[in-house]
Amino acid sequence: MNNNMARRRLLREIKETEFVLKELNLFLDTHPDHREALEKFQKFEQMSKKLKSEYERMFGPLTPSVNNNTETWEWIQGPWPWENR
Amino acid sequence: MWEYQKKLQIPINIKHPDPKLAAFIISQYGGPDGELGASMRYLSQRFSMKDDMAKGLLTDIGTEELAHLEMVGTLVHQLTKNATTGEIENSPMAAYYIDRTKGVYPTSASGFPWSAASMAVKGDPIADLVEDLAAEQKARVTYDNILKMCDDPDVTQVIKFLREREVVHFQRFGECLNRIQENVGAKRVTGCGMKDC
Repeated sequence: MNNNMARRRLLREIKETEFVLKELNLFLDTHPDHREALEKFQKFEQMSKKLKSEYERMFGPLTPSVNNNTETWEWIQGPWPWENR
Repeated sequence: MWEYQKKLQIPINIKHPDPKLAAFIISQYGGPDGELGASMRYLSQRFSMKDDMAKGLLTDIGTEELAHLEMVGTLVHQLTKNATTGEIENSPMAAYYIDRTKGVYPTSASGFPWSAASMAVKGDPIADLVEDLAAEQKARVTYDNILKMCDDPDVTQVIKFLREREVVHFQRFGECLNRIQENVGAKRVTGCGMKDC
């Protein structure tokens, strides 16, 4: 599996996990005491954290607040989300 | 994509209502050189940039402008929240109040609702970055004009901060433009619309 395929696969997993979190977020906005949704949110939040730190370690930062490279500012390196690569 | 953070870039705590000031400051919410236009301008220009530095800088400054939009909205809200109808009636905010009550609406101080015609996206890195330099200076002048009419230190310290950010953005856009022009000279850039590219 080439590097870009691995990157896109991991990014897809992050997008799926974060979409679940976004749905739970909106649901919880109008159901703030819903136990089951609160538990699911915690579970997916942990998954998302783990996936994102794995992605950032391998492929660079998802936000400018993360930069693991002491030689260069990797944040500005493409591909950018609107680029079909 | 974006994720909201529940905080302002610097704290804003206005003690004295001042609907007159609110009617002036609203221009940096939805006026021709305001923060809404700034964020839309930069975030839209990113798509046609060729250079990773320009894509990153426009993303980051466009994002900071969204944070500034919220700060300007906070100023307008806090300046009007405890103002009485009598205070509003005898201020330049009276006409605004008739249309919007104390809601925060993207409009200029002179009453024009926000318009995309006040910003530009040309699809050319040099044209767009030169536009951005001018935009930062125009926003800086607007903040200067507000400062001339404002003597509440709770407000001026926020306006001075926002003014200073325009100056920093101008600097960074200038550096980015210089880099792109050096690359054009060295013919490392394509599709910028110049014959020699």
